[in-house]
Amino acid sequence: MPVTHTIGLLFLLQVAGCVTISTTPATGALQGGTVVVEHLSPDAAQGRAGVAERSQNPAMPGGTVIVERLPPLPETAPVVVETPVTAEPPAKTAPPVIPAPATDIPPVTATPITSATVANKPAAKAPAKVIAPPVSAQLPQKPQAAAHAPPLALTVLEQQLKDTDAIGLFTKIALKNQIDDLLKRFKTHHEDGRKAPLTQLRQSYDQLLLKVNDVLKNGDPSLAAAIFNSREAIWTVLADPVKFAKL
Amino acid sequence: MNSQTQLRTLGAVLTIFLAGSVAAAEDVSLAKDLTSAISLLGLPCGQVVNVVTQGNRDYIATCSDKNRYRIYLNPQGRVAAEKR
Repeated sequence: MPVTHTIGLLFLLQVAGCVTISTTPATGALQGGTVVVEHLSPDAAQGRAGVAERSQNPAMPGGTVIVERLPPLPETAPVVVETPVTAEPPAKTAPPVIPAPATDIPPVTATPITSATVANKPAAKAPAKVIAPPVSAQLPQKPQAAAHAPPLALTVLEQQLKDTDAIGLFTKIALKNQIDDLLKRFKTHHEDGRKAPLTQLRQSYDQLLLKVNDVLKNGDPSLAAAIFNSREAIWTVLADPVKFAKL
Repeated sequence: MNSQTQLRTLGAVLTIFLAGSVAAAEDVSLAKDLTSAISLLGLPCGQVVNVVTQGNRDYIATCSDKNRYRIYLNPQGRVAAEKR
């Protein structure tokens, strides 16, 4: 009998403890007529900005329970709810920060765009549409450290391509074949511009650089970035008949 | 005597193990090389999963998409690929 009493008492104590634990937050939050501020979603708050909606809970004796629904930005927010209010502004300010890196990237895509669209679309609308997809493709390929690296000389890049261990012999020879083919086309262009327009050459040049980048980006990202950063400098050499003749 | 035998056995095992891993690394790098070369040539492949050597710089590459190519250096010094 005493054992069952003891067990019963322990059980009661445990249940009582659970009950007190479960009710403590509720009573603590609502004692003495505390105000609970609920934030509405912006669309829900549109129609009633500044107007408080109050309701009393008859189940709570001894104090008025006021539930105020306020618009999301009010001056009362810092008073009652600290963490949600402070958490929201950074979340709102964060999205405007994201586009900033995107402005850093357009040079990658700008070159293919100009070559692709110059012939047909001189209007300013076209770049805005075409920029977005290539940005996501090029974003991980550009190391931050190499973003400020100066363009390298063509001979240095050529030597680095030969020396890198990131690509094998077949890849190097295949690259060399394609570079030689492109150089032949440039030579033809400089000798007789009608055969190979510069816009077509620019497309081929960009495609070749993309291939080089694809091949190098995993094995030798620094060289890939160096070539990427040097693309305009290389292009100026290739496109200029005088500079090209000195190669 | 006994310890010498053990050392020799250990050395032989290590040699076999290291030789095998080096050979495997070469296979992997060759497969990657051929994958990149096929990609540069604009041919569909995915990744090279098997390589059979036919001669000096002459390989049969099997791709992950079941395509098979003969990759070799032709007399003009160009990388050539023939579909098999």
